[in-house]
Amino acid sequence: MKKYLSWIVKHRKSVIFGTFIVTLGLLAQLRSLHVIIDPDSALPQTHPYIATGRIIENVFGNKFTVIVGVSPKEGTVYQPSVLNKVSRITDRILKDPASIKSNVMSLSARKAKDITGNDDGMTVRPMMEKVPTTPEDLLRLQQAVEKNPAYTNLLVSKDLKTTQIVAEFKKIDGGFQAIAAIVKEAVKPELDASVDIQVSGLPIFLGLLEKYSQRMGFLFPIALLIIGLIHYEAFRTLQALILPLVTALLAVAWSMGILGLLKEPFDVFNSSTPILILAIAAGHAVQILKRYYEEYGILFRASPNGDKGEMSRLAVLKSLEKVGPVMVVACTVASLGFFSLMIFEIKSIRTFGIFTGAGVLSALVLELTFIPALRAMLRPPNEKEVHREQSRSIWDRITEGFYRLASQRQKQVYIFTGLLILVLSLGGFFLKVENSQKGYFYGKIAERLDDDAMNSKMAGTNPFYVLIDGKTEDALKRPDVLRAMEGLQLELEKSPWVGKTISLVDFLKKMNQSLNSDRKEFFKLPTDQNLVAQYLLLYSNSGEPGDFDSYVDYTYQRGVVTAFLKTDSSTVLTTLANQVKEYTKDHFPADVDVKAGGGSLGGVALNEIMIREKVLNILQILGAVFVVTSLVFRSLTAGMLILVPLLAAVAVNFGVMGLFGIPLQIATALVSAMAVGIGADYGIYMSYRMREELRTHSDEKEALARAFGSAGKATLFVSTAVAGGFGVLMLSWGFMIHLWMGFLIAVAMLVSSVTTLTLFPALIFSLRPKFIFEERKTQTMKNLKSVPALLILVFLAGSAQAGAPLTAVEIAKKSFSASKVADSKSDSTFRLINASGQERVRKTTGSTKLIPGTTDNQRLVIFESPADVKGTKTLLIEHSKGDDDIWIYLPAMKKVRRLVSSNKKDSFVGTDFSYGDVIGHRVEDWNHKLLKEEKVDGRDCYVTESTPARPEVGENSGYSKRTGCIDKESFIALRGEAFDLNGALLKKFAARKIQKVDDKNQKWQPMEIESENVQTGHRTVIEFQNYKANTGVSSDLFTARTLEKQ
Amino acid sequence: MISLRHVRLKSSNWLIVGAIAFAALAALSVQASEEGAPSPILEKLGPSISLRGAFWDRDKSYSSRRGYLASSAWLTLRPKEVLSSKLFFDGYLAKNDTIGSPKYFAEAREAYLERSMGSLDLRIGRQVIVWGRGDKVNPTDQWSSKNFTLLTTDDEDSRLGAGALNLALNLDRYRLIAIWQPEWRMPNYPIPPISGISLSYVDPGKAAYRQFGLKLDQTGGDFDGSLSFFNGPSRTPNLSVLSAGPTGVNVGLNFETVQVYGGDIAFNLGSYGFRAEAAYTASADSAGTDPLKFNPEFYGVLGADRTLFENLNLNFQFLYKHVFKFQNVREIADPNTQSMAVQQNLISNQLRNNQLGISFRPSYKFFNETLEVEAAYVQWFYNPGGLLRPKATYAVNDHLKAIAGGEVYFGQRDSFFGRLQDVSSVFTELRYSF
Repeated sequence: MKKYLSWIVKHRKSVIFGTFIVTLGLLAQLRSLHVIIDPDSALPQTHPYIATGRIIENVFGNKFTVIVGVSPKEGTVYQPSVLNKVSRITDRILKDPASIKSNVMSLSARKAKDITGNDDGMTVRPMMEKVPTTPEDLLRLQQAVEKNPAYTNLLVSKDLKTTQIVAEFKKIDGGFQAIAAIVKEAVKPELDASVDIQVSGLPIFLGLLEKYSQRMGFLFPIALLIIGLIHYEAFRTLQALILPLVTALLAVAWSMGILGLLKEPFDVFNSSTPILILAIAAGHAVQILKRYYEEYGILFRASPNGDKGEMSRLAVLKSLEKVGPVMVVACTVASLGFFSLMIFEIKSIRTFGIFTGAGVLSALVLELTFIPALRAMLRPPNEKEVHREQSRSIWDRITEGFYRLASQRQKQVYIFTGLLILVLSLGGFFLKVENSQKGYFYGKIAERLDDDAMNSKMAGTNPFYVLIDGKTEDALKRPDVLRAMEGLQLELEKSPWVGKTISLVDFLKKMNQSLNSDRKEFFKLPTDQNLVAQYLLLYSNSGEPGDFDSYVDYTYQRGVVTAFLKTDSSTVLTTLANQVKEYTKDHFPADVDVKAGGGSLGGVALNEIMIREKVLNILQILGAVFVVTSLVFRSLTAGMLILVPLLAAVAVNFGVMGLFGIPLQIATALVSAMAVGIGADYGIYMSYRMREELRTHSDEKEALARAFGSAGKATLFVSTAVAGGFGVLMLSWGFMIHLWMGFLIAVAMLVSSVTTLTLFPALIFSLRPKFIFEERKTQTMKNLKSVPALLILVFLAGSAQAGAPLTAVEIAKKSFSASKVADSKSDSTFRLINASGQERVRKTTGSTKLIPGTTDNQRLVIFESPADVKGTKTLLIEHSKGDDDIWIYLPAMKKVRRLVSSNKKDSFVGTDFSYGDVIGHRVEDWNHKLLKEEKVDGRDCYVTESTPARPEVGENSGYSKRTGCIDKESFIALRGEAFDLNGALLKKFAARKIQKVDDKNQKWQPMEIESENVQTGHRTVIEFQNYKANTGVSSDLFTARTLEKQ
Repeated sequence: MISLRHVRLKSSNWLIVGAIAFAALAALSVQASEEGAPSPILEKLGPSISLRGAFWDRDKSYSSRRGYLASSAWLTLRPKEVLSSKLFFDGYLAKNDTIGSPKYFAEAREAYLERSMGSLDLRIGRQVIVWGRGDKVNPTDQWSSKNFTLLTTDDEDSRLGAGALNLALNLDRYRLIAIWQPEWRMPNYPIPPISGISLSYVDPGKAAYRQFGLKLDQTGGDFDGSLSFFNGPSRTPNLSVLSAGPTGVNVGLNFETVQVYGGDIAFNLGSYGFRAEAAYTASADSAGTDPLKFNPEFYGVLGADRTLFENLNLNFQFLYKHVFKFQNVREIADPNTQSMAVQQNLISNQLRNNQLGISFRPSYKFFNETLEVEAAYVQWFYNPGGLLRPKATYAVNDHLKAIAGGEVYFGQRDSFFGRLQDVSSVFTELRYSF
């Protein structure tokens, strides 16, 4: 990590330029971003409500219904001025290509027919061919409407004071706002003081949804400003105001570009997702920023007059070196959680998953590339800024308070937070799963008031369709089917929410009455199918072919019963749909299919699926967080503990929704998914910081207090900024979705951050889990053992010549060839042990052979276990006068591959030994110094120090210095240390169980060697078994032929 | 026991013969080793078993369905040496759709005997032969067919072994390799469905018996390199109309004989490893006049790799393809012929006279190779399209690995990779090996 970061800082201009290019490239992808505005196009078409809706739409043309109500302020609707208005509005709607002509209904529409009986049979005439002007004609119209009960409350209200125009529209470019605009344009010329005109219906509200979602255009910059201001408050520097926002904005831009690149559609349900990405990205940026100021402060205090630019660059490196790996983990956890949503069927959820996952990864990449590069170029903080950032503030006092609570009053924390979470979660019992698209908007806005008015005066603005499929032609003429339909209508009309139902039945009843001298007792269905057929034939003589298009199909196989509802509440709609199902079972013939669907049920389907999948997706994200954190920390306890703040946030969220009467629907279900995604980071940062501080501080209390002061404080900044950013949504007046989201996200952030700073650490202090505390134990034990010693597989030995003092170079030479036997065979066990003490074991067999006449070795290592690497072989051939040759054979690839060998610092097959350590560091490449002589483990040793003779030797080996305690008898380095290029201790080596393996040539071999990377805490122990020297190993073994053989 | 659902009977015969021979020698080997230190029989067979459970977002069938639970069990046997010979077996039982479909793949990928006689090495039996020093893109790699529809997180696992006699004469660092591979394994491609067109894989028949090749290879010294020749049916099919009727057209995928003359080289310069590989393929349509046969081509790969920050390996290659006697099939007047010719060009990736592309494969090993992250990226310019295959492998312990990644095909629909967009998928796998 350090080397990578050094590279970034060194090539900062190129990195910034590269970021610029990538950003441009991704921004260019925005042109491929496809925005979906039709909500049900996002739905799986297999949902029964949607599938039925599609049939209804295709067969009957019913799709998006708009209702226009006209109420005169004086008198009834039967006035020429009112009827003229109705006629003109109807005409304008009919003229618009988006309207479905056959489904436009009003007093003046040709579809509204007056059915009367006469001597010849039946007369069917348009209800109002032209607007009546005389009182007689007006009365005749009123009587005609009243004689046709099918139109009561549908065309004219019972009190005669309102009439309505029902129009249906197709999907058009421009979305629902365009449909709303068409209707408003049609109505506009008729608005005057004599009438009230109300417009309602689903498209009006969907148009409003589009319009309000566009508020993101100004809410987003305000959110940016608020997040920036909170960061400024926290750090009091301009960098803190700007840099996290730069990361956040670029992350949003990148993720949108990636969405375009992947050709994933964008939809209105994701319109607030950019704020989520903004919040997460800024959150990570703050964690690093906080650490940067801490590191800079330390350097500054140590050397107030030092080079500020250099100190700043060093602080950039150190901060990222410490926080970078944590951020990789946190972002991986979050992005995996989000990406896991890609398996969902709903496009909107997939988009949410990809968009957010890409945003998190973008933030990670930017924080590891662009930001350090940029920060290394910016002016370092001045003394005042450093002082201000370091000075105690309200944030410190709050985090200290939390630390005291978690460390000293765990019982109280459990009782208090437990009770609070429990009580608040109990609100969940009052939680309603309820969706009303109209309920997305505040009740007092004009559109809601219009809708309420129309629902109180007329049948209702929310259509509910029931499809009757008789499977055969003329099935809808069968009396048993018609009777069942009539019964269904009566059943539906029992509901107080149903203002009216209409179907073919109403017209047949009217025809029967008309053909029986308009006698009331004949307002009933004919009992004979032939009679039905004859009625319809008679009707067709004077009616128009398309009159029944919205009630029955051309072959009389399928029909539809339409109910007009006064609400679009999902609870009411679902109850009605169930009622239909129940009624059907007992009353419809078995060969007839009856299904509810389409209309307002489309919204119910959307809600049903979205909620179910959102809840599943919360579980999935929780699962992903658990699995990944368990894997990363290698501890199930860690996985469970990280979930504590998240579960608390979700439980309280649902509870608060119940208590405040906020329904669980699409938007509010999304909040919990967002809260889980953001909240996981807090616990991860805290855990890592606790672990890190415990590693470096002997005083446990101080270590944990420092973790609180750093990662804990940053958690507070982040949660406050996220809550503040989302709080902006509460400015979206009239739009309940934004109001609820703003409120609920703030609650979720409060709960997850407070739980992370109280309950989570209290549990850690009580349980003392291994993933935090074992590290410390291991570290202490390692320090006690203190097994250093420069050791390399190869080296050392040769006997010291008694009496003659050796120079440092001579010691190094003897050490270099101490274990170089003519050839050898051995079995080895590699134990790779990580900082938590977990172990991986590799077993190998190996052979070596010196190239005749040289000290260059050839080495073949064959892996025997574990199973997944069995058969892997490496062949190393040293060349004193040039680069060595290295080949690897991977059984899965079935071929030999030559590797670049100049990088001696590369890890040897994943161990803590580098290739250089294995091959041996050439004596002539280093300057050697004899520091002293001392006893180590009871043996006399030379203590030497070696530094690179040339800069490239350091670069290639990765070491700026090596020290060793070289045994005077065997010349094996019993202990050693190696320092990285920044001069920090990198590795410690040890050699144990030294055995003489070649008496004649005085060659020795340590049977156990160890290398520990002190910067990562990882170490490797290699034990040799069955070691045999000088057995006559064939040269043929060290060829590609051997590598490819079994 | 050893059967293969998706190959022909002829292969099964090979398998039966191979299985019997393998079983006999394995028994001998067990017996031989029993004379030494006593240990369980199973252990003497040197088994390695890998059990894998994976989730794939999409399979390769172009179905609209999402979510497949793929599972497989892999067995490798490396019995002790017997009669100076070594045996090797590698096979698997795999299901792409563990829950939803009874279809499975039972595959004996390799079952061979290996013996050295002085400078001569002999390998006989079913084996996977891979040629080429290019990184992932190998123009000289002609021997093994692939089952591209198998849901596997390692692309090399899709290779199908074939019965062959492989002789290598070793002269110091030089090797002269001669191969005769009389068994034909039918490849399996994810081809996008086209309405009214059904596909049939056509057996190359006796041409399969004429699969042979020679290679002069040198490994060691300042560079590794080889010159090679292959004769046999190409793994890239030519299209032909087998039948046409009111229900649609049946198109045959014919694997016609090609000759491939190739070479490769790999060497290091300072911190860079360079590699190059090239091949000239003489195809059945040497005149380039038949639009339903791919043309002769030269295909070259040139690239370098470098390791940075100890564990970050970057591997970059230029790809170049020259199609001899290329004709623009869009100019064909007959729409049916044109449509098939376009498909032919797409399948054989012969879309222009000169084609340029790149491959890039960064890989990073974290935490002492506990976590390995890799992204293989290939892109062709002009008719742009490419493949991105990111993968992260996390070793939970010595036995359990968690793998996550994806296969993203992108680009124009009329490009080699772009046409495969609908089989892009993400995957995760848990792999238990012991």
